[in-house]
Amino acid sequence: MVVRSVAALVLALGGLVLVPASSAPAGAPAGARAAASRPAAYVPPIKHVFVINIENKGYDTTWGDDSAAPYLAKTLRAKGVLLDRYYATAHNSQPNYVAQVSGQGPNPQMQADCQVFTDFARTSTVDPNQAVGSGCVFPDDVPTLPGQLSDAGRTWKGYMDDMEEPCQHPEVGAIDPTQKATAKKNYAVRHNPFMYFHSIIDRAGYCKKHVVALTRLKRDLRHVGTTPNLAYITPDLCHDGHDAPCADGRPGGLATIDSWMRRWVPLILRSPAFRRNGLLVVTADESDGPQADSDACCGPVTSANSPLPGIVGPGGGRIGALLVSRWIRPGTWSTTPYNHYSLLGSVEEVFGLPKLGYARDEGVDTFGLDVYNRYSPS
Amino acid sequence: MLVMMENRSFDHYLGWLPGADGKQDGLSYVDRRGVRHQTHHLLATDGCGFEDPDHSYEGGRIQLNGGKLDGFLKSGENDLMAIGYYTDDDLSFYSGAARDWTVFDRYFSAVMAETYPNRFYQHAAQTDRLHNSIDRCSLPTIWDRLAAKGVSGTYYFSDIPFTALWYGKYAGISKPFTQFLVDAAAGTLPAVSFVDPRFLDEESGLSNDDHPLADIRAGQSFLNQVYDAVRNGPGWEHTVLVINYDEWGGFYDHVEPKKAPDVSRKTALRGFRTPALMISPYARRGHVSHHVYDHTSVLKMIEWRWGLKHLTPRDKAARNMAEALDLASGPDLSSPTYDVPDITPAACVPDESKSADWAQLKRLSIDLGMRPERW
Repeated sequence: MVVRSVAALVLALGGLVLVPASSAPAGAPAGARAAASRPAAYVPPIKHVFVINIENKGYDTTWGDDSAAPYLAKTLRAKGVLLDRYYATAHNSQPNYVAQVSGQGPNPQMQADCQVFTDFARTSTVDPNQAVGSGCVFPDDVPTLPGQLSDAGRTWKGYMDDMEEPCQHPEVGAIDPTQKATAKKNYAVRHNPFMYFHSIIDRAGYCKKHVVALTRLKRDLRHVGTTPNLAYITPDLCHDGHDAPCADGRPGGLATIDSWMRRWVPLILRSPAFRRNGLLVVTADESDGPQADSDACCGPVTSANSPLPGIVGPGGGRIGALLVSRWIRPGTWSTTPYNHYSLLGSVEEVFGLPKLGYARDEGVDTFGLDVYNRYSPS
Repeated sequence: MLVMMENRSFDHYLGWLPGADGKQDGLSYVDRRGVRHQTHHLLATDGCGFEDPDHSYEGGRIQLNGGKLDGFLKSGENDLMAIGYYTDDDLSFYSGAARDWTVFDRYFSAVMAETYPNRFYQHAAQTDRLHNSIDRCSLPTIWDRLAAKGVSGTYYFSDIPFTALWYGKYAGISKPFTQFLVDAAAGTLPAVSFVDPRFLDEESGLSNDDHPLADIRAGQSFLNQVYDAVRNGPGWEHTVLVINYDEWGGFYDHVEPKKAPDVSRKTALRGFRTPALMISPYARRGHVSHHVYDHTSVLKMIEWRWGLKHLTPRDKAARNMAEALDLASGPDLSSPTYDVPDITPAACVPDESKSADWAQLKRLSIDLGMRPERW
């Protein structure tokens, strides 16, 4: 097993000091917004990607023989490829979601899950396209996967379970009231990464159209034309296993994850868009916790704004990811190391988009024929 | 006498042997990016600069790909080393020994999984885990069977005693490699002995167990040392020396492993073929056996010789390796001398991101007071 240890991290930190920060002007668009290009030969013609994150579950917890989520770990697992060396990139939750949609690394406020919805105060930008500074809501010109998709004429939506109104987030500078679930409210802003980009939340109409309640998914799945190219789905604090028991007394944890998956995943798998050319990704934001596992597999062992992305280690621990598609053989494995930046880079490869942030890191690999193992490039 | 080396497949290591079912030049494999690569002669004797090929439970299944055997560049971080091979020019011990003695070209690692599971099979005919870990093992072993019958047995280790995983149970029969050399010379070897090479420093290429990134010349030298100790010792006439490998190490092989009777469906699938040799005054000279064997065939031979009860359904159903011997003719005590240089490998640049399972076992064995002789 290859893991990046703290010993390796110290070396990397030493190296970091010697690297001069390549400075891009703070006001200029920081990301390549090139038009979509033709995907690489090893990427199947996927047109719809569905991403679902559960909360705080290490690989063995979710996917092990004794998993408390039998639908997920056995029934659904048998339909796809299990990436057994897929790692989270940070602790705690929020920076993992942000990594998946932008390639931006964590900073201490993000690692603390952005208790206050602060503006990100940027001092500079360093390679690979990392905003340097601290805070939560990134400046307007920090590029995102949604921005790339919209620019390329592709569609995307965030489906947020138990969100009361579209694009729901605190006022910038205010305390985030959704940090703790109540008996009636289980939506968590920190699991909705789209809220942390001014380029999304400052365009109210755009945001409300794209970041919607989960209930909307059912209708959108009915036709290929109404199903977005990227459907990014976050169950609420009870359904994603974050809470156990839940604030209203339901069991929570993997038991509730499993019943939620039983209800929602078949809707996706049966949808015309998925069946025609879909890819479903189920993973977790991070392992059971920083103390349980804060290893990293690959990519940056430190990030521009955090010497320890995993608080006590270089990453968010080993979590695994399950991928299902017509171009993936049921019941198979991939043992290549990947992380959330790999997921971002791989989704970008699917849609022929340039890679953002740490998805560009030379240690970050993207899905190949090990994952698309039923696909024969012509 | 059994010597278990580490991590080489049959085609990769002995595919050049005349009369054996080996393939080297002319095969090709598609990588994760869809690029096809040809099998190739490895130019360096060490693996410095390459990735240790994936040989996990999961990685083996990727390589097998439902019987297509086309996934050797699609597992883990496998690079072109995984489809490289060595020839007799590179192997100064095997170039002679493989031609002179009995080689098995249908010898499979016992389980499609990494080192510890396969080594458990060698001692116990089953494994209690699919991955390397230092959890306590409580499986009954061949050592228990031998002890129950009053037959002597010793486990000789070069640096890390694998028997430490039984947490002290076998401390009394675990002895350093230097003791093996002494016992062999004095003719005081026990009825059954297992001899293990040096495992530490695989990552930097300094071990002599053949595990990447090791310099293969060090493994050849170690095997020749064991061979010389045995054939020059007073017990030679009554000795069978088996050399095998724990598993295929993620290297390509063209023969599909099949399932065998087992305690569990999970571990019934054998791993890919590995090199295996039998050396003895009773061994057929210049012979290649084509029968199916695995690690438990060695146990079967021991059980057959001393009338021991099998350990699991696997060794019960296994073919007895002794059937490859020619017991009808008298012993032929002659044995060729091989010119194998003793080399000191140059260390690879260490990659500190690689964690070593052996280092964990080393700490455990120190805690248990099973003193490894060489650090």
